[in-house]
Amino acid sequence: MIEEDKITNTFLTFRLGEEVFAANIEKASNIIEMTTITKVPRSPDYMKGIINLRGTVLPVIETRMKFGMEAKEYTRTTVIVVFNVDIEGEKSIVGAIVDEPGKVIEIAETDIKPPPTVGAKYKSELIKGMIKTEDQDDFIMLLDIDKVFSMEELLHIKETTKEIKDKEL
Amino acid sequence: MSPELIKLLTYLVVTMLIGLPFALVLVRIIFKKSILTKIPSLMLIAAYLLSICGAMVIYFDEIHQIWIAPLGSAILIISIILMKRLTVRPIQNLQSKITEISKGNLNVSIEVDIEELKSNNEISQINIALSEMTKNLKEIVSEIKKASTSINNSGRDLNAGSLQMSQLASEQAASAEEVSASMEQMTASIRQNADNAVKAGKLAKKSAVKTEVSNKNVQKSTEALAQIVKKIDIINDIAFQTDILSLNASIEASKAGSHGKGFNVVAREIRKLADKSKTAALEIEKLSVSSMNIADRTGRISKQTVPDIKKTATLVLEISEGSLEQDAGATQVNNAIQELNSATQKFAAVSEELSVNSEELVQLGIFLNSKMAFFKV
Repeated sequence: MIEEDKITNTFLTFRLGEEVFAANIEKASNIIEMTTITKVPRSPDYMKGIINLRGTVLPVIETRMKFGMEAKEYTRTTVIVVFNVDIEGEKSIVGAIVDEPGKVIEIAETDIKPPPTVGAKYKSELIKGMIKTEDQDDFIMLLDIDKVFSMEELLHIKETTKEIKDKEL
Repeated sequence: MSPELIKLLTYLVVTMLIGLPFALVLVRIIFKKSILTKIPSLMLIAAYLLSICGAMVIYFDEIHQIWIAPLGSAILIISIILMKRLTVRPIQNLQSKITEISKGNLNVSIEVDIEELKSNNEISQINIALSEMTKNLKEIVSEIKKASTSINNSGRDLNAGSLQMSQLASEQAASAEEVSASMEQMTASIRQNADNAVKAGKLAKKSAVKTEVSNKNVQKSTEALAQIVKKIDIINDIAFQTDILSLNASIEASKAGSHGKGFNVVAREIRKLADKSKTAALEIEKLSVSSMNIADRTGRISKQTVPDIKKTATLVLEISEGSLEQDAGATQVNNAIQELNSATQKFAAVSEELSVNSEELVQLGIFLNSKMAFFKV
């Protein structure tokens, strides 16, 4: 099990459009290649569907849509990043479709800058901070994964997965 | 008067009236109008007179006889002088004239006396004939002189003309020779042209075949490149999968904390390798695509080149045929020039002969002139 408030400075990066995001490595479970996704009826638009991940039902989110970006056809580099999320203290897994996986980087605490409060593209509560590395011109946006896949949205997921589980049973 | 004297006188009268005229008539009949008539006539008269002298010797006394001998001698001398005057003179005169003519002097005046014309003897007739002859000779000689002069002039003209002709013929022969030499050079170059055209045609055919082969090869290489590009996809996939695998390994290693550090390093190395193969695959792909494009373009160009080369081969063949025809034409022209040359040479020879002949003609004219100069007109 993963300790909740353990602070590590290792991150997994990934790309969405022109922008690079990072997530704490503790939140990342693993990366899987794009595969056939089973659609789920009566689910929100950003809910792409579900896949079978080693016997577990994994809900898959269309992250571009969640971030207000245009939907794009999947390419060779499109992958699903499996995140561990806390939903009302309950631990769950969510698959996020990203354009390209990045790398595992270690960042000093001092290199993480607070996010801008004005003129930000995304909701400031979703962004934990901005990372600037030497080999990258643009900032990497450090995401709060738990908040990104927030309660109200994932409520549906929970329900749908439950439904499917029930059906399967 | 004694009867003897009477008898003598009668005899004299009779002979003078009957005998002498009869004898003269007889001579006239015999000699007719000949100049020789004068000689016997004179001799008869002289004989008659001498016979009178003889008769006188008998009838006169010795005193008178002294006169008779000189008288008789005088009669003889007179008759001889007369004979000479009447016969030898005209002949001598004639002889001198003929001598003059024989010396070429045609200006001798041959005057015929009216008396001579009347006498109508041989001398006068010879004189008339001679006069006629010199007149005719004069005309003929002057005609011949004129003719020989014109022969001379014509010969000279002819000579000059033939010399010019000969010179022209020589010039013509030289020109023909030059033309012939040029033609031969031209024929040689035409032949070389034809040979080169044939060679070029063969080369063009070979190139066409080779280009077709290379065309096929280009097509094959394009296909091969397309396959390479497909295979690169597999490499790319493997690289990508390796990438994901290494990321997952990194994630796991990070979660393992200090225990996972070594593993993390390995995972990163694997990732680097995957990245490298990705970059390499990308480069190979780029290169393959650009090679494919180049091969494609090359293929298209060489496809276009093949008909061009074939057309070139055909054109070259036509050039070759044209050259052969040209060669035949040039040979004909050359033969014609050779004929012209030989004709010109013959012409030159003939004109040279003509020149010699005309020279002879000139000499002949001069000769004739010099011969005619003998006559004084």
